[in-house]
Amino acid sequence: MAILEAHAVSKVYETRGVATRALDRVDLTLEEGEFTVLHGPSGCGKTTLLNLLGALDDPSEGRVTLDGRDLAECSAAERSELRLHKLGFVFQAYNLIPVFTARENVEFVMELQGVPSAERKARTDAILAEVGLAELAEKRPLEMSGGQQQRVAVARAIVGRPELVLADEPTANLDSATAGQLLDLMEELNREHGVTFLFSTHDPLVIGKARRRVRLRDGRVESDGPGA
Amino acid sequence: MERARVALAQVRDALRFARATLAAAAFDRFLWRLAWRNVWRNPRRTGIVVTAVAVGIAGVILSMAINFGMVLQMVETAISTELGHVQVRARGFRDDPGLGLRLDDGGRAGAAILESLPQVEAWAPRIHSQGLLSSTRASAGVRVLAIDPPRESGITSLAGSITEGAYLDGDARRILVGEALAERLHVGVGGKLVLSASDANGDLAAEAFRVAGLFRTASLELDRTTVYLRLPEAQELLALGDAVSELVAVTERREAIPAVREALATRLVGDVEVSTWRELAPLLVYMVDSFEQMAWIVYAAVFIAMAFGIANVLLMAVFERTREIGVVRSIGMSAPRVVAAVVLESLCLTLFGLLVGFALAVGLVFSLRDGIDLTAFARGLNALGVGTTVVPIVRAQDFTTPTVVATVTAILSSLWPALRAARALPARALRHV
Amino acid sequence: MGLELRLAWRNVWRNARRTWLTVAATVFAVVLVVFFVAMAAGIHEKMIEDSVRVASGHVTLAGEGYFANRTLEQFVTLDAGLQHTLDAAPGVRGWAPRLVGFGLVSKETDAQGVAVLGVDPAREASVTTLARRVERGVFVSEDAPKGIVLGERLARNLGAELGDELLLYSEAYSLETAYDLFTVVGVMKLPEPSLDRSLALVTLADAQAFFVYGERVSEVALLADDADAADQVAAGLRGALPGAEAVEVQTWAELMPELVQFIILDDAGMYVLLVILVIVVAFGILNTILMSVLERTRELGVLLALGLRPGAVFRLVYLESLLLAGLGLAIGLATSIPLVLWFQAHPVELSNELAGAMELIGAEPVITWKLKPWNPLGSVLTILGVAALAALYPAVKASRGRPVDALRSL
Repeated sequence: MAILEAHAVSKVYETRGVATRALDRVDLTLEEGEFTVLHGPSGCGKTTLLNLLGALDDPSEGRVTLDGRDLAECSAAERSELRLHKLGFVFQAYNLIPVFTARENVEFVMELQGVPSAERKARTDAILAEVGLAELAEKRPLEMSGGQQQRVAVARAIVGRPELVLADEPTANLDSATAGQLLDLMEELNREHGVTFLFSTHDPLVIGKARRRVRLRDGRVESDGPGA
Repeated sequence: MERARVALAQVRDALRFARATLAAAAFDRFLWRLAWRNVWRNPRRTGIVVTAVAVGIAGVILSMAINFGMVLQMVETAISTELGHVQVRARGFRDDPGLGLRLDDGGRAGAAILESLPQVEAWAPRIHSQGLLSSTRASAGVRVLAIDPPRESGITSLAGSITEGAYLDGDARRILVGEALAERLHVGVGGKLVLSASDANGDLAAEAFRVAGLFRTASLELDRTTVYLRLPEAQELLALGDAVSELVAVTERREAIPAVREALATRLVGDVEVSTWRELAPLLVYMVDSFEQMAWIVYAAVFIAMAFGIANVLLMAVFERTREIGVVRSIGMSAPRVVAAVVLESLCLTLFGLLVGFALAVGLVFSLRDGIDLTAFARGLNALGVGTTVVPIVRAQDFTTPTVVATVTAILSSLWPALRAARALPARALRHV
Repeated sequence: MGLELRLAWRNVWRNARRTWLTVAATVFAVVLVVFFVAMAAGIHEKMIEDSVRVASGHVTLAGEGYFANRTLEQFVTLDAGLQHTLDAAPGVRGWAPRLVGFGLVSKETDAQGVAVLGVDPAREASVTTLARRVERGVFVSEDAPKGIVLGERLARNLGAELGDELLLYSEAYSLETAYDLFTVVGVMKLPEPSLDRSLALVTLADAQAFFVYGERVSEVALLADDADAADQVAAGLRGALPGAEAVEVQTWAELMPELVQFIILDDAGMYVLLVILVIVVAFGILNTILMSVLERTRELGVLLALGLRPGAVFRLVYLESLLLAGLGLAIGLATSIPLVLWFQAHPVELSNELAGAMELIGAEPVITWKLKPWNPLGSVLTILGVAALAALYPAVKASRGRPVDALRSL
């Protein structure tokens, strides 16, 4: 069943009166359990598309539906709710709240969801163990390495049991060994827990692991096909 | 019509938003924690704001405490130099304080009631009159108060105000004169003065007295204008027989005043009026009562000045954290929660400064508990009815009023930064590094 | 200098929002300070004028020893020479001779001790406002001998009405008993309760006859341009009087030290609060400047690396804070001065319970404003001074940075 569908979405940015078409009538459908990558050269519209799919921005034309609901018809509050319950995000950097510990960063999502505190604690412990950071639970982001921070970000993204995790260049700031470990972790989560992932990246390592590859160029889908 | 509906919908949305913000601020422990930690992300900036709030609050509390100490002393002076708490007089005496209006039974009816009331600590009879007091060198118009010396000591601190000579005791034809008046009449203790007055029948009466003692009270007015005689001698001089002008009573606690007044008013018969110090000193009552309003205005002024600084700091903080706000928005933190987080940060910042200010104020007031010596302003203070030592007095209101004002200020000054933070669209905020 | 100023000015506007918030706080403080200082000045001036113009003028001249003793034994003889001196004295707007005695006034069973003031009705009006304070009846006049005007409270305490005959009793200059009947011609309302309770006016001629005083007077009351000019007038008078004359000259401030002290105390209470306000604003300026310096660590490091002297960086930061404070001051003064001038022209009449309370002590329930030149001037100097103090730390911090550290940061 399709979780997310984009129908002919376009995005036009206007800066100082000059219109730039970042996306041009893109169609994309994501099914449950996918491990998909959006790739393409810089400025091809990867991040723009990801923002539209994540209900962070509105398309200029076209329609995005999440679980059958048209995002354009959702109020700001409803979108917040959708993001909170159905989506998880991992960004390139500065993912975490610097004044919160790893544990608090993870717990925060469940706090927002209204999960009772005992359950919150149990789930946090479990997920931190799963991403291999049990002993760093009380550290703050600045006391952790970049790879550790991204693991916390992944833990935070999936702890709320979203239907889809959107990851925008999650490995961009990591060395290749660390990036590989992070990717293995996400693949494992996808395999064992059925978490659906959509990446935007130009990291060949990520592209190599993906089971479906969507290539964008100049705001259009250039190719869409199975990966390794 | 259409526009009205749109406006209505906007109002409804705004209300819903406000309600959600309030709920988040009130119930979300995480938000409080986030706010508190955010406050300390820039300790230098926070330190400056906290110092400003603390210094401002402590300064205002201290100066208000000194002011209130003065006002309270004025009340105490008025009560302990003359008024007492409750007065019994002939009806109309307050407007026409002559010998024509008097208690002909010598106050016995009132005295019996006062004796029966356990709340009454002391009572005393008095005669009020006017006269011309002459020495060999000069004369002055004076207010004559005739007293029962031992009883008067239960009401006023006159006996303790004697600076030279002695209080009225056994010797006949003795008079107490204020230092200021004695200086003008060029008399000292033992000096001879002639008091002329018109008696109850309208005849001129005169009598020679010797100065028993000089007094100095906290009221310059009293020291300049009032002299004290013994009751029987005044009754004889003024042909009053047994009559007195008033009975004055002091209760153990000020709270007991209405009950005593009520008991006297209901049980006394005849053309008698019962009053309290509040009716005789309306200006003082106004000063005490208006003190609260003044405090609100002063705190509001200081906090408005602070509000700009608080708003400034929050605005800077919000701009610095644009990307971070984008991240939390994208993981599903709703706009009302973002607003709540900034408002809570403002509250943490301001209320922390407030607490430091309270601590500072308590320390200052404690270190000044023996009073501030203002001898340099003795004459100005005495003209106000205040002694030369002023003790600052803090009350519960000195802490509740600034807390309320600080809370309101913190919330109002954070609204602009908070709404700015919430308005930042996640997508755009994320692009901002 | 021109370039430096331009740089500072542009820096101030790099974060316009922050600048405006800081300026707004300064404007608020300036307006409050100017407004309340002017209000206090207005209230105090009114208090002084009210007191002076029912008492003995801005400056009082009397016989030697009068101010210490105030008896009939000290007097002034108002001869042609003295009159000429008074007329010629600079800064004197008017003068009035008076006789001050004490006596007992009685009506039937009521008697009151009073100060008997003998005045020259024509001259008195040029110094005091006593004649204008008559509420019922008329002022004393030479055409109606043996007339007496009483304070309102005095009249009430005596139960005296217009036309009533009163017995005035005292001791004359000759030490004989003096008594005579006077007719109540007027009742006046005096602001000071103790005066209202004790002042009785008669004509100078009647008083001189009653006290058997001849041509002598107790004092001469003089009116100066305003309370501040009293010292100058007194000094001029002291210099103009021939040494042989046994007279003394005192100003209102010397005669009413309690009033002076009351005003100082009142001012002190207000200034403390205003200083707190200014300090709070100064912290705001400190924060703004500090933040802008910290944000620019790298940029200032570049300037230092380019060879700009630390002193120049210090000056730049200093200039920025003074511009910030100066902007607030300019807007604050532009707002507050017209505001205060408007209030100065439109005194506020109180109508609440405060008015009632003020009337009880005889004060007119009116609040007046008075903008004295040192008020805006003092505000400017205070706020600039405080801003200069607040800028010290950020300026030192900016100029002390080593270029390497600055370039490494961020």
